[in-house]
Amino acid sequence: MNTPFKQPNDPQRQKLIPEAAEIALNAEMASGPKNDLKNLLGSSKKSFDKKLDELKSQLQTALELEHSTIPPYLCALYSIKPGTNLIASEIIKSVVLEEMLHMVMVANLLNAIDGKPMIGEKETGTNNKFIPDYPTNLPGNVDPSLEIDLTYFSKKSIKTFWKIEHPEGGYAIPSQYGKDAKTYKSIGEFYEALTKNIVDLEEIAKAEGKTIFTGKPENQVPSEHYYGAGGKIITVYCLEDARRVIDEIVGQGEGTLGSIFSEPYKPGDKRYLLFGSTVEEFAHYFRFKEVFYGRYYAPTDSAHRLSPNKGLPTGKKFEVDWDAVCKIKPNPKMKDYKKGSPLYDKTYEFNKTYSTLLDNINEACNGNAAALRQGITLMYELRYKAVELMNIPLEDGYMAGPSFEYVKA
Amino acid sequence: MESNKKSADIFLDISVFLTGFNKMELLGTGMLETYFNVVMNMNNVASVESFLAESEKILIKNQGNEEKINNEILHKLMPDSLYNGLAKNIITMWYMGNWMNTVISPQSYVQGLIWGVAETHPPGAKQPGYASWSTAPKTVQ
Amino acid sequence: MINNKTYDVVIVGSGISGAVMAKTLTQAGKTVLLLEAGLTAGISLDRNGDYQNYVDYLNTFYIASAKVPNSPYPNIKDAPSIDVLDMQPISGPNSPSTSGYLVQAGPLPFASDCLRGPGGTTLHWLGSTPRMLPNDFKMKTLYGQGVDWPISYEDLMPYYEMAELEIGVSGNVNDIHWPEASNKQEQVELTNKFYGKDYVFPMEEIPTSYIDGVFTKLVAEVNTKNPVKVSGKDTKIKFSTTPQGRNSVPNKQYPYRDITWDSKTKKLVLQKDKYWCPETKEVVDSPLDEKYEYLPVGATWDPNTGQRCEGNASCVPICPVQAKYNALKTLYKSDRHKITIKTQSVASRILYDEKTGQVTGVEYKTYHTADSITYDTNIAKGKIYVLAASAIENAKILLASNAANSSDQVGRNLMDHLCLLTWGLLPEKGFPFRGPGSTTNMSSFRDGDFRKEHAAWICPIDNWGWGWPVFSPGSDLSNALAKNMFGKELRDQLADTLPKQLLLHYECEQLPEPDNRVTIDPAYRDQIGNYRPVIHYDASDYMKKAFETAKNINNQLFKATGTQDFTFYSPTLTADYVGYQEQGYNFWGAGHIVGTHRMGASKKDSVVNKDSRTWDHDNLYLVGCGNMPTLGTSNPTLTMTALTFKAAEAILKQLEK
Repeated sequence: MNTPFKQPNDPQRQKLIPEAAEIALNAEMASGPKNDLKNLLGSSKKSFDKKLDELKSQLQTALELEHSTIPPYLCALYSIKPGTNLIASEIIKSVVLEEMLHMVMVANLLNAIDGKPMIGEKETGTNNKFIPDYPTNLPGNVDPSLEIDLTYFSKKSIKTFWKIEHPEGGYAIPSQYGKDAKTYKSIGEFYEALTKNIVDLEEIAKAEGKTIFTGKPENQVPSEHYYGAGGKIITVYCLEDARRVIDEIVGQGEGTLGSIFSEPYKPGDKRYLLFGSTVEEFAHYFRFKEVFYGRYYAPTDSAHRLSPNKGLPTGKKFEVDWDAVCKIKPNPKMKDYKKGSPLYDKTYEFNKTYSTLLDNINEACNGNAAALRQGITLMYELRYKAVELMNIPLEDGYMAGPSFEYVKA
Repeated sequence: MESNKKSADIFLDISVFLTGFNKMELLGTGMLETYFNVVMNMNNVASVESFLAESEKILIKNQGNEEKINNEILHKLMPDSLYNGLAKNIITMWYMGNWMNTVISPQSYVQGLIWGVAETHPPGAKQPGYASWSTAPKTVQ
Repeated sequence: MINNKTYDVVIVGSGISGAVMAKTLTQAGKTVLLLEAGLTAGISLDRNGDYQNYVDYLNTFYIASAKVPNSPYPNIKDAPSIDVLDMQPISGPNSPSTSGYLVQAGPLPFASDCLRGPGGTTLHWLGSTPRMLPNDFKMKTLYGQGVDWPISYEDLMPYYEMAELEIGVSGNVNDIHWPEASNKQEQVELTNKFYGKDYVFPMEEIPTSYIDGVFTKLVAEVNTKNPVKVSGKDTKIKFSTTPQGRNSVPNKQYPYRDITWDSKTKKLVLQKDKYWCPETKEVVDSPLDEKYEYLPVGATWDPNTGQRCEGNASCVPICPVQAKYNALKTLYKSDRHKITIKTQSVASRILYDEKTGQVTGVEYKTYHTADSITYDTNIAKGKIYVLAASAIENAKILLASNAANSSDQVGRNLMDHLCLLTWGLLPEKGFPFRGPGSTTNMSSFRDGDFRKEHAAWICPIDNWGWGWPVFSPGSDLSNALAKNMFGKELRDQLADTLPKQLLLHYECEQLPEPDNRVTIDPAYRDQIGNYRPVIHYDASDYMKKAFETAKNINNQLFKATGTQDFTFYSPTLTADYVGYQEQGYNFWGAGHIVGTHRMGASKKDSVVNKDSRTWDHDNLYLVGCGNMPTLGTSNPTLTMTALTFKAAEAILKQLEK
């Protein structure tokens, strides 16, 4: 099968249903924003700067959004007993690595427009927290109906994950959607709005012979320092790069496949044949479905909900052992334990590694990309410490677990 | 069941003194249940029971006095002539993941305590990441 | 006979030589039948199957009580592998040791193993890839020892470059020390001459180990204050970093992206701006606007895994993430439409026309399942045949076929690096048991006039403590327990000593000797009727004198650096124990099995010509370490790979005549 999904990081791949993406964008354009653009054109420098600041803060939110899914995914991954659920582990691992990649690419994007990514650093200020207080909603008002726990690998948690990655934002579309402009029904929609802002602002800047991509090139994290995890990192110096980053993020997550769920099914429509061994990777949403059902998508499977396979995987089965899991107490906190008790200390130790890791990524995304070398060793250490915690039984039959809280290093 | 739970607790408590690792460190390996079962199944039951009974006695009698506990362990548990060398076998099990010369399971190898003592990791598992070997081992404390 | 198709080329073996051959030939449009003796599961063209199989290897490694090089991999009775655990002392001239696959006739047992299975020994190789030194090719002329090669270092240079791209070598050309260079300028001149002025490896140097820094710093002090004396002369000890086939940071200066066949010039070409495109099956131009950067080749099941070495410290026997090169990576680059792979198929004989010498087929036995005693016998047919089954198996197949042996050299000149190990406790912690097996080597004694008297050696600084000679850290625990240590005292004692362990090994170059050889004997066969190799092996005084000199240098070094010596040699330590000048020495095998069908300038005293073609059969090529006339002090894989590219070029030329 000749598929545009063949190569990871091929932005073309994401354009699988180009007209769908266009329709979505055109709809937005028609509904008003185009007028905003006109208003902005020729408006004062002050309002342009304000818009640009808003974009920067939107990108900071994107950073937080990308990060927010990592602790829950890691919790599920680490809770799987070693040597079991090999395929499920590989699938979750591949997703989480891509989320990490997204986070650093968003930082590149923010740096490109001369913003300042705030990662661990943000926790030290009085401003918003960077790490969500689990259980939590997604940052940026994305699908407010969805609550996310730090918990172990189970059918329930995997179902939550696929809702996170769902093109239409889970099943329940918030009724207030459309009234509050700052609520997004999915991550994809959030990024669509983001893209539009970037495009608009760059267009305005260009009209004046300027550009919004004025960030220091040395603040970019290049592939030399970020490798092997979820694809090749994209450095951002211009609008085209920015588009590639967002295409990559949205494509890996859910794909620009929203139309799958609204278009009528047409038998023989090859656009929905997204799977098979020649496909390097496909959207997280579908990968979580594979885990849930314990089988791969077959090359002949359609992603469409109304297809004969109902959009579900019908390929080769693999074993998923939902019991081979350390059942951690959901959403653990340091304050659950007495200060100075062995469990408090162990949790604190984990959080220290986690916080150092965030600080390290922060350093890497603020001009010292080489710091990631140590960051990667911290990522490994994080796992070993989390797994240790998950092996320690609590009084109530649950196991202890990593709490992902910021502590000052 | 109850008595088994109690035996497992004693096994854990005495393992702390035999290995030099605290309870959390031992539990953190996730191997307690496996190792306890190995001890129960691979040995003469009567011998294990009296080993655990002796262990309990030492721990209770000298509670809070590490020096005394160690002294009694040295004379009442460690000698090869006692309990078919069970004390040393238990130490080897925690340190290497082996029972006698057999590796108990892939995880027991990976969870061997000796690698951490040597400030490294089991070869082929718990890898520390690119270039980690070029500096002295660093753990975030 | 199920299959009577005639292929362009029949290749026996899917190790690095077979894989390089298969990839190069199929990408040039030739049809290839590849016979592999190992299990089907080891070659999976589907990623999930590949991954599952590799996880099995890894778990087998975890539970192996002795983690020897072949421990993760299946040892199949239908195609047995050598297991170093089978090594025993040989009691007398007519009582060979037969406990393992090898029939060890002695007087000393051969100490190295290799792996018969998909990917071959590259699954467990260490990954060190130094080139041979120019003088290594002229041992007879320069030092009156061994033989000269029929080609020079310069002849092999372009193929070394191909091998370094294929394997994906990390290293720093400027950190490779030339033994004959007495100052910086000479060093630079030699590097420019023998690597080319701007040559770089595909990836930057793998960071050297912490222990390398500790030890080389101590030695640097010795060099200035109290130099080692060799034959009465003050000698400065120099180190090089070791180029290696494991992934690190891509070198931005590295220009090459592929090796392609040019049918016009009849040459293999290292391409900067063209590459073989797997979709279109042809050589295409790189996109004009693309800035090329070497991309490390990751695991066979996931290109994103293993793009950098992750410090698993288990290169031998298994790299869990495949950051270390293995031949399956090359094999999978073959044109899948041109290659037919038959697994569980053990080549037993070459068939040839007595009059013309033309090879007419390879007889092979396909066993049904692992260890089964049932099998089918088939004949594979091609225009050209390539044996790539390892030095020992190649020789065995030729002997069984009475082929290619007009020189009587088949099976002879079996060589290895004989490793003299020394171990001690450093005065400070060097933190071994971390990172790749070795990243730095003592390179001062790789060449010199002393080669007239005794063997040259390379001496890697090992990273894995005393594991090799005495099975640390397990033995350290047992020793402490024997003293009734337990609890914190035990933990502290181990924490204090294990991080100070230092191991060096002096890899001494064995010379070609006709009586060190592989033979066959109808009395010794495996369970599907193939011959088991009978090995005759000994260490000459040329080797023993090297042990004496190396040990003497080592003693001075240990003493001057404050390293507490724990080295001991005894007949019970390993079965290879030799006496020399009233001292006993153990040596260990390096896994460098070399020389059983050497190349040469004349058909009188060699088996193949400089293109690896047998003198006796126009359409039979032999590839692998068996071709090497002498060994030098380099790990042989890189050189063997270079020779294989040269052979592949000759085969393509012959096919397109």
